[in-house]
Amino acid sequence: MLQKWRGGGSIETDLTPYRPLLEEINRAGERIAGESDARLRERTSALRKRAVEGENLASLLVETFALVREAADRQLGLRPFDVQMLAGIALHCGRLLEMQTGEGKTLTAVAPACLNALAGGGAHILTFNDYLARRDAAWMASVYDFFGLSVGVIQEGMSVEARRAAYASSITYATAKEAGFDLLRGELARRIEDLVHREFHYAIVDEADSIFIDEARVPLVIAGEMPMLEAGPERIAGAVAALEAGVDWETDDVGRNVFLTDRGVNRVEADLGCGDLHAAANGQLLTEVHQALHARVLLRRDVDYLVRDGRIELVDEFTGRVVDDRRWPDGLQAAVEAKEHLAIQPGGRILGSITLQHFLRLYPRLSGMTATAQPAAEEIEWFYGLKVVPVPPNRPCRREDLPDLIFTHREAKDRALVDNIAGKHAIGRPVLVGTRSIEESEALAARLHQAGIDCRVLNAKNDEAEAEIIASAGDLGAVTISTNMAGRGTDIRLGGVREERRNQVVALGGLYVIGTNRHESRRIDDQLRGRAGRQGDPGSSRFFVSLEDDLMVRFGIDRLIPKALRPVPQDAPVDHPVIRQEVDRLQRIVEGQNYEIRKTLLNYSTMVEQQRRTIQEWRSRILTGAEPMTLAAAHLPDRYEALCGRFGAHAVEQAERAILLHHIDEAWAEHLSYLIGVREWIHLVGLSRRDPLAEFRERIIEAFSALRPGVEEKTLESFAAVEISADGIDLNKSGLQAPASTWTYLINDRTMSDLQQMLYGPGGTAFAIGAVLSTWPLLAAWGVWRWLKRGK
Amino acid sequence: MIESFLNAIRNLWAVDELRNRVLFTLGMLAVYRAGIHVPVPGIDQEVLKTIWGDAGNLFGVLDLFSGGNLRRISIFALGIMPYITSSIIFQLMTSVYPSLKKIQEEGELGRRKITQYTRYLTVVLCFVQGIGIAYWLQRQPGLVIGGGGLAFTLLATVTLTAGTVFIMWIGEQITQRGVGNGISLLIFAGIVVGVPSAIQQLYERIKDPSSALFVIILLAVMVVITAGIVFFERGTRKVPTNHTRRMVGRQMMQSQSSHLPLKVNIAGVIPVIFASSVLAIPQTLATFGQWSWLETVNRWLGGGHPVYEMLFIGGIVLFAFFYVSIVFNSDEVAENLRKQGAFIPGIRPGKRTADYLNGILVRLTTVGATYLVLVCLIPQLMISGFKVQALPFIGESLYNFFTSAPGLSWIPTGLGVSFYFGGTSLLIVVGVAMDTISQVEAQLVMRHYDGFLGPRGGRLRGRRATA
Repeated sequence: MLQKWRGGGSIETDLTPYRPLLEEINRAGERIAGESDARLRERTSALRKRAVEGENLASLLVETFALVREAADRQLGLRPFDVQMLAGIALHCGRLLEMQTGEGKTLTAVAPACLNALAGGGAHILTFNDYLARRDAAWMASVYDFFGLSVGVIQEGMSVEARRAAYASSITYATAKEAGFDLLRGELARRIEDLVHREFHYAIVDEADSIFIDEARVPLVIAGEMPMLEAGPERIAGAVAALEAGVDWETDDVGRNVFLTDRGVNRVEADLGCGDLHAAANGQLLTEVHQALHARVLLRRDVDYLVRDGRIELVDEFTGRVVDDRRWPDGLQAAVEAKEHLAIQPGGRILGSITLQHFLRLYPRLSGMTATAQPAAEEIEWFYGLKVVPVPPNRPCRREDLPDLIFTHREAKDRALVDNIAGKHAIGRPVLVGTRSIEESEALAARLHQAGIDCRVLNAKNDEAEAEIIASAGDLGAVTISTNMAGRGTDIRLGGVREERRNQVVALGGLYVIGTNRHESRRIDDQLRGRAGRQGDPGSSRFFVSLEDDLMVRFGIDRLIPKALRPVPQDAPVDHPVIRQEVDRLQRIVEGQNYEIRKTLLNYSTMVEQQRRTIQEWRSRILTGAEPMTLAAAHLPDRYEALCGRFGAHAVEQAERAILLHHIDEAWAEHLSYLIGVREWIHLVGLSRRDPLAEFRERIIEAFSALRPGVEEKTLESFAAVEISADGIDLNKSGLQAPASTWTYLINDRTMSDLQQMLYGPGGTAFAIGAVLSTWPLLAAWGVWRWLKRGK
Repeated sequence: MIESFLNAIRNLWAVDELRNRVLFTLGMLAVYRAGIHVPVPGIDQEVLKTIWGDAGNLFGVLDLFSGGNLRRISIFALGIMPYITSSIIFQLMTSVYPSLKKIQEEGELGRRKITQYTRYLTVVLCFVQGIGIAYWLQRQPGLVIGGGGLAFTLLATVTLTAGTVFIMWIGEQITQRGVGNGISLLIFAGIVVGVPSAIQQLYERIKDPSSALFVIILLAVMVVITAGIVFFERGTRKVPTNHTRRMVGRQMMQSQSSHLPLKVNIAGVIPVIFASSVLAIPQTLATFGQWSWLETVNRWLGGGHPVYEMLFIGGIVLFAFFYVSIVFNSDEVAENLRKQGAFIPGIRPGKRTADYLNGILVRLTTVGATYLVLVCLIPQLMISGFKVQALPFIGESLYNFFTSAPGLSWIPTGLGVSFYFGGTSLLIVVGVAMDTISQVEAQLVMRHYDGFLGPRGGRLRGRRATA
């Protein structure tokens, strides 16, 4: 218990427990080393047969792993190291591997994937992006083929048939998000043929900390089309565009919300001529004004989205890539389109939703790998039940992580960046610069061009050139400016495509990685650093920070640095241990806040997830025909008999199923929007000292209990009214396109004032009474102090 | 509420994990309860029984909170109180010192650090209080066997400290592995165990025909007051609000209403505790020495004396308004609503919203304070009487009137039943019970909820917790 408090329990010390198995694998490897390919293939099919017959996977492990190693050697010319075999065993045992960049994660995953796919249940390898899914699947296919196992790849925009075929393969490479969206799409399927997933079995999550932690902040949401709102977003966008920052609108401390000031309200009212904006009748208008403001202030072109071919394309915060088919929730998307003077697309409404946390927990067996797991080990064990195992690098890392250079203002940082890059470039050392946004990457590239340095830019705008840019990024004299796109999963070879230049680059010190900003978590910073020094290569990394950086300003670096130490703007970097320490602390504060967001999301979504499963169990029994249709026969016997007489019992039953499915989907979508609505205001009950989470649960339980009777009632209504023909029914189905939209923002649950939180937070009324009894003089003094301070 | 609670209990045996959690909680509470029979070594139990005279109001509340451990000087005599004190001290410091605030902001890790500091301070406080109690015990003639000395002081201090640390651990274990909040349950359990003996005491009085009628009246009043407390504590004024950041379509905009719930009695029982704590200062002072002015003051501040009652009423009202003004900063709430894109229909955000909320708040607090005064005063007057003789001018004649009038003679003297049935303790008992039950219930509902459309066909187990 004590150990758990200190965080030691979530990390296993090393791979020792798996060593005895490794020795067996090595012995088995020696036995089969001389055998012919054909003989080995016989062995693999024998293994498969034993697995299908139900033999325990543990007893098949040694032979499978030995065969994978031999097959990889023969097919790819890559023989997995002992460490990789050990790591593979840990993956099979449901651990999260921490493995350095370039240590061969792709190859490590093959053996456990084979083992778990032997019996026929699908093994999923969830990659960080589509590109890696494609690349890894193609690369490893021949090994799987050796085992008689098929490989499938899921890519954005694939057809239902192709997806189903890919998931039906023994091993499937896909991104976690695509797999999650496929689940959600399946939940809206009206025909069995539209289901693509098989039962979940085993998954290996690549770049697991990003999927488990960073991306888990945003739930997956699937939306369908909805009729347009009639109010003109263009007119509102015009009114909002005229407003001035700081006078007409303000943002909250961390810049997640924006709101109008009194003056701003007056101006909008005058511009739109709508009278009191806060009158009940103007509710819809006010919403659109807020969304227009949000679109104008908080969503930035070339940071959050691109405009390409007259359309808004969203940029993924984590991968830095454009995401197809992703939109903001209806009003906001329209507001952004109006802001950019584009044609307004139809809006959407939410039809299904699941958090990544709950989605991944659907896999009975889950494991993962990443280069940066340990800082998040405790949370990963807490949320997912996976222990972290650090895997020692095959060759020790020689990268030198230089201390941050901290500047007082951005201008000084930018100048220093150019100088620094120019210095490295002059001697021919390759430089990779990681920036936070497309905008920043382009601005820096422009500055470098001015300084006469030739550089290449990799961002969502030119993603088609990605492979080629990355291939040459390690070349002599290369300067590459990238967004998050090069942050994870990119492998930069020293010397680029020309192997002979490798030694020259090594002699210069290898790749030099620059981060132009601290990220929201230390782990993301480390991932960028990890691009240098792969497989024992030399390399170094350095972060440039200015106290005016977005992150620093948003989370109040000014507040953290004691007044006496606040530096005056200067060109040279400041080097004070306290300032360094506070920059680090700020990053921890951001991490802490993001952790709170995830925890809150998990708390609020757990019961919703149970309801989702309940609904889906029911729905899938109806879809697959497992549940007989009895409703109409019992409640509308006359019509039922009449229809059966005309079209036959089968057609009528199919019609009833279709109607029922339709109403389940409608009711679920409505339930979702109801609970999103409740979620918006429920924190206010904290003002009367009630627990928002408990109140939320009560409300959604109540709403859910009315759901099934409501669906049945509506089904009967439709059944009585709908036209049925011999071919089935003619339901006016709602369009079920599947554009996904993801959007979230922080709602602070702590609306209790600090005094209330202090008194009631730790243990309710009982604690509060005890507190007043024992510390009333202190509390009274504090109260008076507070009161006087507020008076000022 | 009670019904749904029973419902939850009935269903809980079906789920292994839940049953284990409940059993664990009960087991832990039993361990805590058993501690009352383990006295601090070296105390003469026979003498101990005689030293508690007519203990004052405040001591009553403190003893209620320690679950009777204080009265019996058991190893748990200090109860959970030092932990609570330490926790409050740290929270106050966090709001005053920026460096502590920074640590707290770092999220889980920082909070854990502060929890650790809180534990250390608890131990220090235990030591200080333990030494105080040890000295006090030694000043009571004949109480400490052999007269005490340094060895006794040390032994008693270490025992009491260990006792509190153990309770703290029990509390944490319950929170982690049981149901509900450990601290809350420990206090709740301590309070509830006193109920049977109080009822027995009451029953004894009913057997005496001379006071039977009034005790029954008292009982009836108590039932009414309890109902009143439940009613008022649940009462909220719902201020309608609109939210403009709704993500969904416009249908939802119209069909869902939200509101800002404002409790009628925002301050809860806190003003009462505050008022009685402040009024107990002279009593506490009296333990340090005898001064004639102090005796006069203490006579005025005895239960039932008009001066005391006036000050008590004044204190409750004052603290109620003071507390509400600290806790509910209308300007801040209005600003937060604006930031969240919420507004009260027809009222502009900012200053006007704040003014509007303030108006509501003043009215609510007036009602809430009146309710607190009534709840505290009525039972107290019935128990300790209203010392009319102390009133100027008419006191004498009123006293004579009441004592001679048949059936009213209890008015100046009171009915003399347990403190347990006083307004303050009723407020505490009912308040803590309502709160603890709803905490536990919320957890039971959450852990037990498994959907209700499934093949098991069960219906909703936990209903909304409304009375």
